[in-house]
Amino acid sequence: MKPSTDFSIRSFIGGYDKNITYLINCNRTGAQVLVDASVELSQISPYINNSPLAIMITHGHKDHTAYLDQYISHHPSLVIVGHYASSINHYDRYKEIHDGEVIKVGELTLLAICTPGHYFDSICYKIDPALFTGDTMFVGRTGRVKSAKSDIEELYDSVYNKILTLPHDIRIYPGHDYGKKSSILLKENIKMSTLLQAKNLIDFKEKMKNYEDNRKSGS
Amino acid sequence: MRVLLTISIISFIFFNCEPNTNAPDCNECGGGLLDGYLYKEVAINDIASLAEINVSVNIGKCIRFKMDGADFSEAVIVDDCCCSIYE
Repeated sequence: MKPSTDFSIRSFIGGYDKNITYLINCNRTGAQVLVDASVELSQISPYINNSPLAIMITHGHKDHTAYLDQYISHHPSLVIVGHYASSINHYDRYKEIHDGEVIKVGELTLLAICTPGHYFDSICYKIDPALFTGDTMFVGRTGRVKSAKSDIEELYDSVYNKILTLPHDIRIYPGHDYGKKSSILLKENIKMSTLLQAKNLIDFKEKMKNYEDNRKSGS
Repeated sequence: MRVLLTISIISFIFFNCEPNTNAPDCNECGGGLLDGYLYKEVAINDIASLAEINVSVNIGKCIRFKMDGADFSEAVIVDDCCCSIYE
């Protein structure tokens, strides 16, 4: 698998709960794209060349959009990309996205994969060989389904029928730094996560219940 | 536990790859996000909406488009490579 252009990814950890904002940099053109507004702009600013062109929002939970207004105030031309039904779709510069749509920013090309479950408006963004999974998948487990608009059956479908059908040498970049490392190859993640080894939906529900029963705070 | 980390931990990954020489025509896909365009493969439930703006296209073909609410406001058939992020 080859990426369609030269790009680099920087991750910035902070925010409410080991959140991660990513800065994708096209090494040919210098174009930059952000993923989530989870950390203060001051953390990212030293690495911004001019002005980032767009920000991809993985879902509408507040910890992933917390600094969106701050980013916009400093970079008013920033295009916000997110789920068509997200609670943040009121912004003037909001570009609604649907499942399977392709986003071209300069020479960077990203694929939106709607992955409801953790939250109804969850989207993963794929830019080979990387997949930004938000809270749908972390290092070592899937996301949880504790929100009002969470749905475990949708999460199962998103994980098993969408993410796990992708090439397993894709690298996962999650929305929180909850694992032993901040990113991981999909095939390695499957090996280390019981939630990614379910036989079917019933088994997945049992594994999730077992995870919640034994969960330690902050993991 | 909600922890505000005051120190940013930065990791840096560089994808050292070769230029996309396999699909040079994809440089001519047209406008991108900053021009308001997205790309997609046409699905069966797009056909009627595309017909309303006089775009006749087969399922699976790639289009560059803009939306007005739930409807297409503009759509152009482009090369299939424009909808692919694989090489």
